[in-house]
Amino acid sequence: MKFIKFLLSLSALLGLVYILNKPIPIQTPTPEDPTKTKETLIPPIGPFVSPFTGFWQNAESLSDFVPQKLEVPEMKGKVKILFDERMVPHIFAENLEDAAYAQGYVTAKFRLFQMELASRASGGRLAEIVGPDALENDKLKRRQGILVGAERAAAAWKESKEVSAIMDAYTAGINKYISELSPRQYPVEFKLMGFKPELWNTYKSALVKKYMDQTLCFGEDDLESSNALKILGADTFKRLYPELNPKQSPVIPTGTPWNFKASKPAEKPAVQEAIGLIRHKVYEKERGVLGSNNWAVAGSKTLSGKPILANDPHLKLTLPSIWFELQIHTPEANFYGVSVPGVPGVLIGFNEHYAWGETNVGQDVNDWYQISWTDQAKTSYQYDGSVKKAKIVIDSIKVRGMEKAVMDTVRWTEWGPIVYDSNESGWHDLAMHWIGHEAPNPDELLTFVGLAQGKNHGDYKQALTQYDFPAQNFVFAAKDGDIAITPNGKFPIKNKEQGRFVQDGSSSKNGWAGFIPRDQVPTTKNPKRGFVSSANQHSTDPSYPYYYNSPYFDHYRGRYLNKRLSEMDSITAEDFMKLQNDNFSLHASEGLPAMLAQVDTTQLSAVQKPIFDKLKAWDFRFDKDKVEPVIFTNWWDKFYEMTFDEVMVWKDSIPILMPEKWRVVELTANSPSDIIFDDKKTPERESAKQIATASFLATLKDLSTELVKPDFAWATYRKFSIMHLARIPAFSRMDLPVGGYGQALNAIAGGNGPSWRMIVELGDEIKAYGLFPGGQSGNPGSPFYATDLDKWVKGEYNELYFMKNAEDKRKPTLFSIDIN
Amino acid sequence: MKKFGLQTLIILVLGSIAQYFFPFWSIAVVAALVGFFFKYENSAASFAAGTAAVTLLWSSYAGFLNSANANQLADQIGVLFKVGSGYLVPATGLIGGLLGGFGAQTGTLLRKLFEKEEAVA
Repeated sequence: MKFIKFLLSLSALLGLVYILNKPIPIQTPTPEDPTKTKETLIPPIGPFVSPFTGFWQNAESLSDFVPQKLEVPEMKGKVKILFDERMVPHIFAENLEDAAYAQGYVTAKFRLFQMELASRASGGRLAEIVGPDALENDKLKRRQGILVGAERAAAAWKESKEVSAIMDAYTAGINKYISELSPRQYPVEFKLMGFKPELWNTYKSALVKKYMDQTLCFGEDDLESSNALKILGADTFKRLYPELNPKQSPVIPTGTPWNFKASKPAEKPAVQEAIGLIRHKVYEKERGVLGSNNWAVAGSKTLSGKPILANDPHLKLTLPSIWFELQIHTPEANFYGVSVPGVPGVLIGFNEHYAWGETNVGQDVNDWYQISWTDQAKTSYQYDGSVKKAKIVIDSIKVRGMEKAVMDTVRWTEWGPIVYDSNESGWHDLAMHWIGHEAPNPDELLTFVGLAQGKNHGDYKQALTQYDFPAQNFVFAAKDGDIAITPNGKFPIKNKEQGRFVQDGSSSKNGWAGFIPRDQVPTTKNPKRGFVSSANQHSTDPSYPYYYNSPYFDHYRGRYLNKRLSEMDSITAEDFMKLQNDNFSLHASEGLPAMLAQVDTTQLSAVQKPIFDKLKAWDFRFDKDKVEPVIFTNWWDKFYEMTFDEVMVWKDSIPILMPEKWRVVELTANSPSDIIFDDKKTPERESAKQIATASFLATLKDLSTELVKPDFAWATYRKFSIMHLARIPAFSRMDLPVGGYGQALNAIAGGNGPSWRMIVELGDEIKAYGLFPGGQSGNPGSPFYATDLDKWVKGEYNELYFMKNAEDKRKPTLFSIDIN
Repeated sequence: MKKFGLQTLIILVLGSIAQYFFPFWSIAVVAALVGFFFKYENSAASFAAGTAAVTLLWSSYAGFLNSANANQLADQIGVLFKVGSGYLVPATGLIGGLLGGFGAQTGTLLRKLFEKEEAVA
């Protein structure tokens, strides 16, 4: 009897422990589509709720930050890290390597989950922690050659003595933090998802770098363009998709002379190959991601008489942010700015002499080639009149919850990897040729060392020569009065229209003819107009002797920015804060009047007419509490779709290029009777008039229930949210009251937006302002998790605390780490 | 009552130490040891004492961490699991309490296996 009682009690206890220790799958709505559910593993309850090991341990308070001392025998000198009231680390080191070690340590301390996730997502190792849902991502990364690109980058960095010393120190700093960590100190996401942080290495840093490459210089529309050309014919294609916008206002001012002879001018037009319709289902492309601005004005245009520089890179906004803020002080240099967790150094920032920043250049450096197989097993292909063997790489992908790893085969050709599974014919496939597959200059990361340690324009120019990709518009403004901008990077030499369409991969002649020499990369210094700027638009006017293209060039922000900068005078930092938060859209100001002019107002009812009049009176600002932005954007979409019915019909079945916004505006304004406005479904011949009227009425019908809502406005309608990196809604900040628009300087749209707003006033004393939507800590339980989000929403700034030395006492120190 | 207080204290102290080094279930082992070495009249009393002690330990530690954090993380975890964040501290206490209760009871029943029938009577 006693024994049975004991056994019963013991089994109850063991059962309880077993249940509490076992992850239980539950059904939860997917964040992307709330109507669909997916099986989510919830963490084992016991370890997760135990206040000794679980999430309660991540509930952080200010009193947790007690001064820390570290012993690092392998470090050369001593390091002092002082954290200000926003938890920004100010690293005081005796040399750059020690500073990199400290940067690694503090970045891991605040952003470990982010680093782990970024390297896994980029390296195709997500399924290992989240299960079959991520298998497609993991396969795609292999097929896009991201892993190979990262391996080559890591290997290249090792060839540079300086870069590898910095990388090794940075990695050692991260691993020092990870190896000191006990499971109860793991970031809460590790506890939720039930996995452990891995030790860091250079390859992982290269994967993070590849993630940036993919975000910034991966974009192309080759398959889409080839299909559009095939379906619409050359004439219509040219009319709908012109490469040159007559209104363009390029980065390098129009009329800037080229003081060189192009090594190989782009004259010979690319051969149009009869490739036929391409029916691959293309991987999802991130559209409209880019909306970065940067500019600098000379002292002649400012109140202080010294230059001011501004930069707001637009990227996917997440919590935590892509950026981590810090200052580094060594005997060689004192600099401040933002870094990307996983990569050492400061990418955008300033030192005691000048400030620098970047926007994306976006030129197409990713081209597709059709491969003709010589055998059905696809082991060899035609190349320059002979048969070449493909390199077949078989890789295994671990998947959580599956016993066996999933195998995937990638075929590599001379051009690059075959990305898509075979089309119906079986004898042809498409190979991708991306600059990101190539080994970079081993010294590429020294660009940012050079920028951080430089003193003047000469140092800036020298630093840029080491930089390969993703190509960036590097803006510069110095205390000594110089301003400059350079669309900088490694640019392929192309024939006219080369790389716009899929090309024949059987001839090496269709490849890039080398790269543009660095002294022929366009740049401008102290232009007469007194400012330099970029907003992802064309780099140059058409007189630049090399051909380049991109489906992603901006056509509105850059023009508006240049117009504003020429008008402005006696500029202060506050003026630039307003400019960065400017919601005016040139797209609306040019598109809407053209559309309104076409509407047949006699067809409007007494309810519809006031809405028409309201739109007519709109100031084209996408402010959060206005209703016009909602009506305009909905009308625009409908008008666009109805206009391009002949392209839209193909959209669901094949990849096809959509015309650019500016061209649609131009056609509406200048050629309202163009055949493109004809609705193919009706026997009548429509013009812009019928399309504009019909789409306007349809829009009002669609919005009829919205229009009567008392809180109906741009912000409440579009519901802009900043999601947690793992898309956990509880850790995200939803429905933010923000304005902005993709074609406005304040380019908040579709989950993207100004990821770091920075303004630097040069002068004897540097004054800088900056802010990113988030906080320094990646821990949702930290007071520093979303610290600055409200300020960002309101368009406010922090004055950045640029410490002169470790004894600087102008602001309090919240926390400190002393090494050695 | 004095005995109850001493048992609670031992569970609090030993339990905290054990859980610092070992997984969450170590609290059940501590409770079982206390249940084994303290002579309970019956297993129900042992269960009650173990439950009370660990509920106190888990809920007060969680409550302390939570108040220092001004509910910030609890609010988000509450949203994640679709429970009011106010329930998280009591729920934590309850789960710990069950481990403590079953642990202590099992310890007591184990001891009774070695005790002679007459000694108890």
